[in-house]
Amino acid sequence: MKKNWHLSLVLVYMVLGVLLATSFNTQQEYYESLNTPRKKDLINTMRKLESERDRFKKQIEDDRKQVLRYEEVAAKEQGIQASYTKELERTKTAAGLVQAKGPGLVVTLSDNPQYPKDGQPNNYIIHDYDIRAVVNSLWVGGAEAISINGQRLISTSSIRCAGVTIWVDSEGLVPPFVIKAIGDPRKMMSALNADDKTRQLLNEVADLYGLFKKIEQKDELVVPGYTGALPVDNARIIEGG
Amino acid sequence: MLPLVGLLVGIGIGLALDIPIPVAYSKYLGVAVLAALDSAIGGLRANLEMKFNEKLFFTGFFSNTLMAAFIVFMGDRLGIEVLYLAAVVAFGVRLFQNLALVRRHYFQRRHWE
Repeated sequence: MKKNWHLSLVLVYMVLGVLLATSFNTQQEYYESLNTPRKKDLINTMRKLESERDRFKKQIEDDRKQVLRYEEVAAKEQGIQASYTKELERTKTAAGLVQAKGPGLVVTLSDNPQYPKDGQPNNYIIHDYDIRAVVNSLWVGGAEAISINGQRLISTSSIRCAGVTIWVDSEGLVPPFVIKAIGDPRKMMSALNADDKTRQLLNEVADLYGLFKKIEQKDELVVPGYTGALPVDNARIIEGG
Repeated sequence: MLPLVGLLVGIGIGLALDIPIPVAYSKYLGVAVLAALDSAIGGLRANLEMKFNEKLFFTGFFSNTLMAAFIVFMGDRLGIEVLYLAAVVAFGVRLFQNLALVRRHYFQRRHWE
């Protein structure tokens, strides 16, 4: 009797044990499976975010480099612009388009205020060629900017007689004629004396006919810029010239 | 004592074999285990009451276990997922009843001796 039930009970209990163990294992697996994908997901998400972060970091680095390059280019362009501006200013000054200041000479000439005694009034007044002679001498003496009665002389300027007035470009001038020249005063002075015509005008002729003349050396004088038209209708730039 | 040894040996075999059961079926297995437990305790009780019938015990054990799993399966298929509660309650109540009776019989027998 005892052996009988023992055997069957033991068998059944063994089966129960197997079932219990299997169930236990399965449940364990189930809980792990609940955790694992989440863990894996989190790890994957983290890895993805990390790689993304690295990518952004690299991008920032690249962008910074790009900005640096742009800044360099901009600085270079600014340098070029600055040198162009300087060049432009120099050219404008040389061309007489802007006001200029510096040391130089002021030559003032005027007619004889008294009525001529010998009936030859032409001898007692200042002519356009007188002014041309003085201006030419001043150029020879290295003048960099010349104005006559506030009229700046440029490369196309003309000094001519029309009727009773002297015209500089499109401006009629009346005496006294104040010729301002910026440059080395001593050089210009010696140039005024070196030219025969100018020397005679400023000395013998002026004394003989009582013409008013005055030559002053100035440490600083201002010559205004040219304000007239600058027609360039026929002259063309030669490419590569 | 021997049934206990059998139980331990069975647990050892189960852990060693590590039979892979899909997670989706773990619910069936759980209820089946409950039914098996109930039958085993019932067998013990019948034995103590001197009413132990080997055939009845064997068929009861396997049919209860399979039936429990089947009820859960049917519940899922019928859309009554809580049907497994019926099996759990039924077997649970019987399990504790059997356990109480086993205890009582055990003490009574000892008392007599």
